[in-house]
Amino acid sequence: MLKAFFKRALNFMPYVAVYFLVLCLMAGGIIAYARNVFYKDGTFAIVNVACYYIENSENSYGLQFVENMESFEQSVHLIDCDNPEEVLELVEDGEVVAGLIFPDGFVDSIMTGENLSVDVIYNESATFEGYVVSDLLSSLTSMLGVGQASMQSMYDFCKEYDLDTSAVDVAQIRSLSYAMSRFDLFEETQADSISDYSLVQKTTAAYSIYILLLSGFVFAYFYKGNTSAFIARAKLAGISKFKLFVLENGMVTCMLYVPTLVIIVGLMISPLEVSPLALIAVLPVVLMIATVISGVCYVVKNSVASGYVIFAVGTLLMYLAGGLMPLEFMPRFLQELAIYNPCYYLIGFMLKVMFI
Amino acid sequence: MGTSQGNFMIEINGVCAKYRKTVLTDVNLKTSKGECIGLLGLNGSGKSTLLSCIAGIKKPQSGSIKTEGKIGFVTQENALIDELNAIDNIMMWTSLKRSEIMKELEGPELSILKVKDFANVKVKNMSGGMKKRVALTSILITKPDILLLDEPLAALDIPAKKDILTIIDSFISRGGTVVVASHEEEMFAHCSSVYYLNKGKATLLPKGANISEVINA
Repeated sequence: MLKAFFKRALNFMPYVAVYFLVLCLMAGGIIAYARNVFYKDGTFAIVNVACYYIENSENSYGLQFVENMESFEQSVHLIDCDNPEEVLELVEDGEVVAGLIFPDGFVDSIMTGENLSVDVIYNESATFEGYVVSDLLSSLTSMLGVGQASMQSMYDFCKEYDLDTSAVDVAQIRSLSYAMSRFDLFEETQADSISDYSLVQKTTAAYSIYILLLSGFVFAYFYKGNTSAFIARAKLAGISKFKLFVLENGMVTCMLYVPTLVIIVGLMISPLEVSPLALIAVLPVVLMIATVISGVCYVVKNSVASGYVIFAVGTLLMYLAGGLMPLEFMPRFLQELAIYNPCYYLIGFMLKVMFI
Repeated sequence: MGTSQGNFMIEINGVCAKYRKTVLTDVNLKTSKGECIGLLGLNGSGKSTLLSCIAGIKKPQSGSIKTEGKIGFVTQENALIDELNAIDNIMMWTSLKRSEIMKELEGPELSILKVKDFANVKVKNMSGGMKKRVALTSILITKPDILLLDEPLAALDIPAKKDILTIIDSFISRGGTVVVASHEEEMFAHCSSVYYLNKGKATLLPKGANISEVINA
């Protein structure tokens, strides 16, 4: 029976391939369109953050360094303000989702180990604070870590040439103190792991899942374990409903895995540089989606209806999980609802799988 | 469900079955080797339900069903897979190899159904008659002792009906037991006894009863 099922799956694959090709083209078109509509100035920056800092060479260099970081560039657009009041005004008016006010001597404080805190101001009506703050602050923290390491090297150099021993000792202690405490500098960071990824990565992972989910339309016609005649035939052959489900689910998983591999290989050679490990790591995602598809087919018992149910429920869940459209474009209550959506976590898992 | 004691191949005592509505009420039926039982009744009278109960696919609410030997059930809707050809569909449910199946198809019994002529045609490209022949072959090749047929002649042309009736006769003559649910009068001519199912009850029609009169009544 297994052999027959494999043969059946092979015969069914051309339909799957055509369906996936159409879906991939559609998804590609949507992503290309979304890039122009959602993200201003042709960049991927999606949120504005007001920022105030005292103009001096260290601060300017540091901010420029952060702004050029890839993950930062794709998510945050920094608006320089002349004074802290302007930051507050922009936040209150909703022009920006958050404001950052760097205290005077912030960079120096890091060098000395004093570690002054940055004021982080949220806009109550804004909807994406966690994301913005996490991304910005993690970038800043990384930058500061690099700065700290540079300082350490500099003092090592001083020590080697006996330039100023007492200064070296103090600097080392302060460096250690900073290195130990720098991740505690910004205590208000509460964003989840998804915000560690760039928007392009998130869109790629989400649309990959959506394409896999929509394949339920074509697999609904493959699934036979929901027809009474087939169940009856299987039962007389000693195959229980559960065994039949497992068998059919296995076949759906295998068929779903092939186009998934094609998608991942395509992404591996794309500028996104998806990890080759994703070829194996993606299996649980494929299995989960295949099980959902098989489950719907089993319960609904009608190919056409199953297809529509998968399409409707899949699209709704993906939309509410921010998979089709960034969450920050949605009303606040929908954003809060996202954490109860299984697709939200599936996207997170897919992100980890793709960009290990 | 149990094994029949005595000479009966199927022994049904006081079977009641229901889905949302009660479909069968106190059905009693017995049949021996080499017999063909016809089930006659309007749509929804419980013919298919009774066959499902005999096959063990549906559990009756009460009563007992005892059977002897292997059961083959040809349902009204076929259990064939459209993407596979006739041979692959048959192979799916048996442990026989392709060559062994081809040999069986050429044998004196199964050759009646002429499946060998379209053995490599995919089911999705077959007519209703061809599908019925494949479905019946896939059951008969497993050598059942009891054959349950649900509307075997529905929507078939005359040659197909003739071939299927011939193979049923051949199966009975070899000692097989057949229970067939049908609306076709010509089917009942091959039955040793006919039960009329109405309002959940199964009534044995007297020998020589006019089937068309019963159907039209």
